[in-house]
Amino acid sequence: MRNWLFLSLITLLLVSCGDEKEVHETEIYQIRAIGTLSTTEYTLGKIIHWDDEGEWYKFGDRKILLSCKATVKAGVNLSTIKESDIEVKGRKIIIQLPPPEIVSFEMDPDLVRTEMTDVNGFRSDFSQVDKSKVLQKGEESIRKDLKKLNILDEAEQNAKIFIIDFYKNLGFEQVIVHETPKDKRNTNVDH
Amino acid sequence: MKLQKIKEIRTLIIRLALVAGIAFVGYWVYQLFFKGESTDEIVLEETPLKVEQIRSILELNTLKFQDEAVVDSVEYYKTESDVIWGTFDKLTDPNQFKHGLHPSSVKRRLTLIVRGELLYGVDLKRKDFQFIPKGDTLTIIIPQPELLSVSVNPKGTEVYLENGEWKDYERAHLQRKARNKMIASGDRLKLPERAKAPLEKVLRALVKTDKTLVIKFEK
Repeated sequence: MRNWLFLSLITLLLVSCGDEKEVHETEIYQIRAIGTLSTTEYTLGKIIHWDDEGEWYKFGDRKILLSCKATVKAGVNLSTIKESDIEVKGRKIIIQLPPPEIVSFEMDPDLVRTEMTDVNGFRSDFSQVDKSKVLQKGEESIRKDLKKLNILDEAEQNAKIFIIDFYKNLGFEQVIVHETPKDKRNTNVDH
Repeated sequence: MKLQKIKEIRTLIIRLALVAGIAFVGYWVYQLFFKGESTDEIVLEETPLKVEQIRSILELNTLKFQDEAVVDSVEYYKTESDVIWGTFDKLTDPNQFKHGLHPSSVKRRLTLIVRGELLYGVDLKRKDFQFIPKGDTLTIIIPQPELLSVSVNPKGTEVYLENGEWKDYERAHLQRKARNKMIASGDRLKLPERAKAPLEKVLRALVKTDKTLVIKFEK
């Protein structure tokens, strides 16, 4: 829970400085000012494997193995919360959380390595243009595989904790956060 | 009789050479003018995605900046004879044939067009936040907004020109150069400075106090 150090400090402050009073409507919607909040980071590794058998008129084939790493951050864009997503009933607040999304995707070029190449027959060696195309396909493949990981679920859970703390700090006794159904998520992984 | 046979063999060799020549020219015409440059033909083998690390983070991303940079590396021939031999080498290499048709003093050249995205904000996990209550004022000293991520990926990298042979580390060096160029243009536009205003707004939203709130950034 060291991650929530900042929030805990704020909570402490609020307990010491704040008085019991009505929550202003403007304060409820202040959460939108936060913008994008990244809550989960995954470091991934993949071996990109391409066997280029070539076309009928090309004698020989080529093989390449590339290793790469990607750092992916996921979170929620709180600025997309609409007024209709928040319902206040006295000291109880119900919020519809925006869908989690991939905030950043980094494939460090320094961590891309050609592990093996094998070229035979009359085929030419792999050029940087070829390797670049293979890496582009590799990136596509990693982005597709992200859907199978729990990154978005974890980002959503962490964001939920943040939101509950945020509204409890504002003085709400009960904070109910509804998640976006998985089939309505825009996973933003194909960009 | 013997002369007739020699003539026939010679005619056969000429015809075979002619057929081979036509096939060779046809192959080059196809390679140079008709073969499309497409990544669709690349079908990767299925390999697993390995999760190496999972971290819970808490970062406020207050500013996003998309940029594009062109980076180039050129190497020239040193002497006239190097130009002649180098051009000859290129003409005999199917991948470099195009560059050999127009002899120049350029030995090697690699040009990349790189598109990337920079995210500025503050990492709330940092422990250097200071809260100083004094009388009717609450002062919060927070770290300067920083560059939280620079996304320079293969899909945003286009090898615009490749003349000559280039190693992986040389391409990575150019990509690093593009990354630094983007960071420099972010600094030129004073983006870390601009990221302060939304951050201040966020903190004012997060901290509820009756005291006068003063937000200062670390120097």
